[in-house]
Amino acid sequence: MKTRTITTRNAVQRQRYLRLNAWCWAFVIMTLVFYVLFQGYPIICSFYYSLHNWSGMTSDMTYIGLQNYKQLFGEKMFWNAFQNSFKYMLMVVPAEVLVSLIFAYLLNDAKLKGRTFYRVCLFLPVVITASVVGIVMIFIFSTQGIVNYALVSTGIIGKAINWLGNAKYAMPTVVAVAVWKDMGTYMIYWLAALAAVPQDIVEASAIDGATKPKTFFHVTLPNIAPTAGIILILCTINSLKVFDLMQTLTGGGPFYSTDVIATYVYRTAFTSELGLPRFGFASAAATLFGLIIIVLGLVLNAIKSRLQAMQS
Amino acid sequence: MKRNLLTRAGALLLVAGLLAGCGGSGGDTGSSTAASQAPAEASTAAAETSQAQAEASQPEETTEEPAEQITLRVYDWSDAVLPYREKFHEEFMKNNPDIIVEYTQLTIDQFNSTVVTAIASGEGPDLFPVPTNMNLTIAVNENWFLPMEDYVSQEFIDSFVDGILVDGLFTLNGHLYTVPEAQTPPNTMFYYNKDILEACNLEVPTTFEEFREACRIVTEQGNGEYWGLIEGGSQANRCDILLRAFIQGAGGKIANQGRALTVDGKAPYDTPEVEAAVELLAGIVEDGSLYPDTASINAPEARELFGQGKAAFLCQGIWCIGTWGNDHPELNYGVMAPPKNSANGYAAVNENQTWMGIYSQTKYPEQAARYLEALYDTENYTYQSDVVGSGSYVSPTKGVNEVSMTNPVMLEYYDAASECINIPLLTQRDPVFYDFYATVQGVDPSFANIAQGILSQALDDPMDALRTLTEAETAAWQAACDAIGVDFSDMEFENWEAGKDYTEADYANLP
Repeated sequence: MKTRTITTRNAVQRQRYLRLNAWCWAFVIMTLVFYVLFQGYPIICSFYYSLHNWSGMTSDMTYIGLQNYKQLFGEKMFWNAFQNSFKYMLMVVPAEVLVSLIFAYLLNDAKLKGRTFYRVCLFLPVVITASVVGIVMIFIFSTQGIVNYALVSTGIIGKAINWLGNAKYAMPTVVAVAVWKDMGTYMIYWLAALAAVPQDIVEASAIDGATKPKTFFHVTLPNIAPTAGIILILCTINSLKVFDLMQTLTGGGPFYSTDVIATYVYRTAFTSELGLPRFGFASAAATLFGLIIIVLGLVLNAIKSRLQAMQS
Repeated sequence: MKRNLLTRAGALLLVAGLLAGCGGSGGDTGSSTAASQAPAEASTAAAETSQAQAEASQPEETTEEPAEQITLRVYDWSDAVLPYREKFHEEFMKNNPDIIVEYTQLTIDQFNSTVVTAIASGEGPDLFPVPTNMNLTIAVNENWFLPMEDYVSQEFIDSFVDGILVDGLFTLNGHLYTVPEAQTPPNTMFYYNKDILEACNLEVPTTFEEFREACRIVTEQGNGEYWGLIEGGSQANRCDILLRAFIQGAGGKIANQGRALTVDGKAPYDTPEVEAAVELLAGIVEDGSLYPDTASINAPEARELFGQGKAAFLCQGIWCIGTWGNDHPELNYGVMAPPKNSANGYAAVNENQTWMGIYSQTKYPEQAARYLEALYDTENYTYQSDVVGSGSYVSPTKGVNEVSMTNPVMLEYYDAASECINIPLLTQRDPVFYDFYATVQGVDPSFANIAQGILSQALDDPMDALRTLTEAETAAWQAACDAIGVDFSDMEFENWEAGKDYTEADYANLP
């Protein structure tokens, strides 16, 4: 009798488990199908093309094994783009993470009047298409633009600077635009994390006489550290994948000073001054860089897990 | 609570306004009526497509219903003649009620990538030009185009200017595959602003020294209002053309953009003439005589700014004339040959460019042929005379230019261009060199990129970069020659003297 009861209970549990599993799959399946179709399949294709000498325009595709990868290692401009990608990442990530945290912290203050309005204002650039931002910013940062007008008229600089057309200033200018554009997304993440900080601890620290900075560094920051890990990973990966903003603002120029891997791949795959484009070679560059990002993602994930472990 | 609601409503309005702003162009396109409305962006092309389809499905109210109405899809990048093309489409559809023209205009870059994917999916447009980054031989080998003779009349073929339908560009193996959009005059002539030169008390410069000095004086006297030279520096091809124009002006043996030839067994990018041209260009930049935003503007923007009187000189093609005629009729400008630095200095004639053909998989080859015949028809349509009269293009059709070329600046352009000489072409020496252009692998940074680097002052030693390029290009050209089985020495034209017209007889006398 007892055995039958246990068997029946197991069967019910199993059925419940299966039903739960089915529901999970039902929710996941569409995303999975789209992922396989629009992410997985192109990745496999890209790797396949990277093993071929192919222009992408004709039907003649010659298998050349790892020749493209071998050539890539000796390609000066690939490594320049590689370096620029990381330079961009190192400039953008700290700026975006810090600026978004500052704004999130300020706008998390319940006493601040109109904070929803400010939040919306700061989030607005996120919903603007990158290409539109690019076109508008070209005007803003031109020698006749408002930035130069403000800087020259206040005497900060003596002569107008072509911010996006000068190899020295182009990268910092793109970084500034990127921070302005994407900061809103990370601010939302920070706000979510800040909302989850237990208020009783914050209040207790205030009663104990902790100043605002002390409360932030000793109470708030340890509580939002796991979110910091996620933000860091997302921000790093997104910055390494940058394309649209770079393409519309500078196209990788002037003279490769803002040429990142994505613009390098695009240029190699679709344009050519003499001869046909090199789709296979560009695929090899994209695959190699993709692998590097995966490794970096794994390292950052390990750091995040470490942070979580420290917190618990 | 109420205030919170208000804030949210305000925010929502802001977002909605922003999104509406971003989507504005699509809405405009949607409200337009002509099926031939040509959008500048690929995104609007989709909207247009659906609109044309919607129109196609609408019943005709007044005229007789034709037996079968088809949609003829035409892709190209001819933005300079858009108003005339739209007018032509209206006339054509009126005369051919069985055809709806769905015209999609893209930028060259958009076109190059879009058309390949369209063809790969079997959905190529019925009529489209050969992409600029490939040639007719490859396109025909890939079975992209139909031989036209079965669909167009001999009268149509004969209507083109004698000798324009060159083998390798328009015909292949005795078949006609494509037709030219226009005759291609040199695209290295310089426009100058007469008012600015007059205000600065300057004559039209003819030498390198005079040109640099004129640019300097103009900039100085312009005092932030106008500058010496402007160029679409964000487009590497424009920088390439400008530097080549100076090299040819210095008497350097160099092919036109996108073409190759060797001098003394190597790519000719480190010669003394190249050095002189680099010195001139770098000098203009150093003097501050270049329009300050040059590095980040494209060719149409440079054209527009020249039209606004922001610079004294601009190096661009004949298509500017029509645009300025429409947008800046008050612009007082002239055309001059590029400045020279030696007695051997020259400006080169441009090779004609291939253009539109009929898609091999089209369901409507007869209608596509009818479209082409109408496009060049001078009796029933005004398209050819319109584009010539506006100063936009030089027609490839017999008899049009003689009658319609009345635009004084266009005539001046032609006059200046008449001094241009023919330079040797590898493909004319041996059509097998079309395979060379399909095989050769580009070098990074290219000549165009280096020219762009000079304009943006991003290069400390441009000649060093050009010497490296010479080595790399020579190796790449040699490899391409080996791959197609051609002797590398055939890239050299030993009997060509810089500054002298290279004739048919010279080709015949080659060793």
